[in-house]
Amino acid sequence: MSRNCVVRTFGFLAALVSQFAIAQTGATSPPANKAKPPKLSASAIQIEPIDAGDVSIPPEFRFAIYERLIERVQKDGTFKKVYRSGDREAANVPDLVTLRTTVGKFKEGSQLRRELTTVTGATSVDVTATMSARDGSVLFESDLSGKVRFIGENLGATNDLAKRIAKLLRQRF
Amino acid sequence: MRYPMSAIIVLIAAGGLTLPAQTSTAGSGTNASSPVLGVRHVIGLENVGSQKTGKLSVQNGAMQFDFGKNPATVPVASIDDIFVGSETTQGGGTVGRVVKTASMAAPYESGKVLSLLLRTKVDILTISYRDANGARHGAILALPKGQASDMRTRLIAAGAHASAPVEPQLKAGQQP
Repeated sequence: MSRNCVVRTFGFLAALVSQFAIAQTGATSPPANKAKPPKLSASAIQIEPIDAGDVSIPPEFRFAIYERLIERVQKDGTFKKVYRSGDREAANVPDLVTLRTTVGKFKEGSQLRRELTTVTGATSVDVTATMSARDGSVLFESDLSGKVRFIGENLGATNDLAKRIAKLLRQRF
Repeated sequence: MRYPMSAIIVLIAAGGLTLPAQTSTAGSGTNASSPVLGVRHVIGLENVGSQKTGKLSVQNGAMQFDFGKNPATVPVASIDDIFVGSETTQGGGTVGRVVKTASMAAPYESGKVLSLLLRTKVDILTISYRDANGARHGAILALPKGQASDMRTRLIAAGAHASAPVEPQLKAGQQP
């Protein structure tokens, strides 16, 4: 009687464990199947100034994104060399990639409103980052957004955006 | 009893901070003809940290930002555009920032009063220039209100290029 009970309990537990294992496999399999983009390789990057397109964005925001992006990418060390737009030295680099950023949407908030209400007054800037090879072919394109929601001045959104673009570059290179 | 006392301390601290801030802004505003301006570096100048404060001047054919160490210099001839903007930001400098952060712990959200009291409007001067290799740079500086247009005029007079139209903040009678 007692031996029978032990066998049944063991069988039940074994079935439970196997079911749990199947469930786990099922849960983890979709991300495994999701195709991860292949890593690209380049020794140098040239960063172009921000293209405002048709969007009205103050020049200080455009230049702040450009400068903060250069600062971030240099700090990350993803590329051996980071060239600014127009740098003549970049002409001799064979595997140079170029990052172009176009503003899609810009909303200037208010630091005071953010601090007083905490839910309004956010500043946000949406951009499309396009990476191209030396021959002009597009390697990848991504939509990103930078925001400042609570604390800090409006230009803080440019720092957030630069951080996100630098992260994207780390993932792709 | 303890909470109202904390709120009073916050208000006194705010009063103490805003008074010198207003005095210094007024001082620089009245001294418009002075060639040296106290400014805050936002980003873009080589070897200068963000949020460093220093003196901005135009001398020997260059824009110079002196912040205590080796001054950052941008040759005026390399400047290809100058933009003037404005922004409402927090005054009080580093002390203001520290007090404001500390005031977040004040009860009944009384620390938010500091946001109103420490508010200050600044001019933003954006300078686009190229270095010896032709690489583009953008330097952003926060100046006392009403001073950016004067600095822009001074830079143009010294030989800088500026394609942007003259800003509406330019007072009547001033030459671009």
